[in-house]
Amino acid sequence: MTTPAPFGTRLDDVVVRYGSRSEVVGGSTRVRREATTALDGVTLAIRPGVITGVLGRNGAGKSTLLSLLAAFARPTSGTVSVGPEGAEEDPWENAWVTSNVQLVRESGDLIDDEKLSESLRYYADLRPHWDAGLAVRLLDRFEISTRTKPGALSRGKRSAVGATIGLATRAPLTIFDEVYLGMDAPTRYAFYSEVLADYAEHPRTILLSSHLVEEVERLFEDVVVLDRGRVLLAEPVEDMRARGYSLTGPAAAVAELTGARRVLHEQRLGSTVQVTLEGALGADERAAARAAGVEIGTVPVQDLFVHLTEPRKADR
Amino acid sequence: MSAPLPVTAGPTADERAALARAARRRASRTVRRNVVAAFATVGGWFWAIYAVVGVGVPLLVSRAGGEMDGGIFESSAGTPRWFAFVLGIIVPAAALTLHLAAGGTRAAFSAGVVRGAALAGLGFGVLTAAYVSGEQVLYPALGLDWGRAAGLAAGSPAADALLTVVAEALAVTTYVLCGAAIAVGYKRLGVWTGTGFILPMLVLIALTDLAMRGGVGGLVLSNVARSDGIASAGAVALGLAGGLLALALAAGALHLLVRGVRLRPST
Repeated sequence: MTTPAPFGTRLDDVVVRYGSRSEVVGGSTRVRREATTALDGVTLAIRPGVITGVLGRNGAGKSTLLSLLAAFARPTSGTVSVGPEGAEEDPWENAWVTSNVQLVRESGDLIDDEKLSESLRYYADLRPHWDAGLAVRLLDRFEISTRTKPGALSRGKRSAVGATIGLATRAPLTIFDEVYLGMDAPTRYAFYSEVLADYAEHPRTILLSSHLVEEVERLFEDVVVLDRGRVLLAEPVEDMRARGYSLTGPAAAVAELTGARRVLHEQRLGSTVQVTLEGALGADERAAARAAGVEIGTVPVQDLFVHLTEPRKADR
Repeated sequence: MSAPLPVTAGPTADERAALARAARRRASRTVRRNVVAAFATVGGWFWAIYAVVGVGVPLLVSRAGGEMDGGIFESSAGTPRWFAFVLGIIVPAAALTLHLAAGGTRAAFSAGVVRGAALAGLGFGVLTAAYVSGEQVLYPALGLDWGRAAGLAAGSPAADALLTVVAEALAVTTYVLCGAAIAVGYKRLGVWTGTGFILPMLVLIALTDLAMRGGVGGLVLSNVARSDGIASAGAVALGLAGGLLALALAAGALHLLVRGVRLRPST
């Protein structure tokens, strides 16, 4: 038994616009213009065979980006390619690519008024690497009966069905777009451990989009941060962690060490201050901080993500 | 935790093309199976009830000493066709999102719907011919008048039955595809344009009715022309050609609509 080669993805200058609006130009001429720009010139490569976190605030363009990879939608301009290294192809209407890419959306994509077994049968028929045994075991673990109609499932159970489909499909590119919604904490942790276990046994590319960054960051090897339709960063998670650090100590000492560095966040408690700074400290600066009684700390990915995507005053 | 399984090298271009063909076939077959299963189940119930009514009404009328002006099939003006039309709206549209999420392509979806509709149409055609033949035997046995003003006729009972199978199969397939195209039209074009798209689909339905003298259109035409169906070979061939044209246009409209469907992010 073998595992298919994991898929990578590449987007070049991708723009996605939705809808249109009417606008009056030159006093009387009415023209129709695209209303919403969901992705604005995205250029990005996602490595095959790793777990990549896709982070962004609401409306940053995460779901749009992920839907392009699964050929749910097409870009307004730019190119998208998906496949094993060296054999990437446009996924749109490409049966070989789409049968090997599984996007699980938070809405779940099931037939609501038929038994769950009918939807699962559909996935099993179309997915070349479907593992029926794994699907049964996971549904059992999440306490979901295949005789239930999806429309009657709670949001959390429905999300668990989505998680089951994503794992049992064993697609070389598996994408979970906020599948945790409605799941209670034990179910979420069970899902994370199943992802890790199955990924270890069947290496593939997994994209995870989540707002619960603190919970899932331990799974990430790479991270992509989207901000208002643009790629803010795309790099190994360790590089992202090295993008910031915190200094905690007496206000005057911290201010001196901060200098002209970009302050991402600042918190005061009496005479003690904690600042989150962008960049990394050199050996001399570390020694100076220790000498001044200032504690140097790491910054969780979630905090960095929040600070880096904070709307700047000039943008408001 | 088990050791990771060995990862295969990516397939060559030829292998990818073969895998794509296999994936398309699998996806199209699944759609076809779903459409046929829905028609077999729900359509089976429809025909069972229709047959009970079709036998029960003339029996009751005959016992009461009443008279009937023609059979139930003709006076109900293509009810099975409209039933198939409604199923055509419901069944394919319910599976489209699931189909794309499961990795199927839009082309495989429309191909599967067309094949499923053709099989459902054939089933409805056979049942219609059996039903009409049954009426033809039952009514005289009960002392009631039976005749057909609408529909294509070939001159002999066996040829008429075969022609009914073919004409109903073409018509029902067209009705199903028009229903499916209307449902996909709403998904693709939105509420207003999707509603406007109903009109051309109704034109195709009228074309199939008028060409093969069946359904509401056929009944209206037979009342206007006051003729007992079409019996000349040339007219039958022309009628079937018109039916085929309507079917091809409905299949084309469905394919054009499905191939551009996008699933918008739900968040």
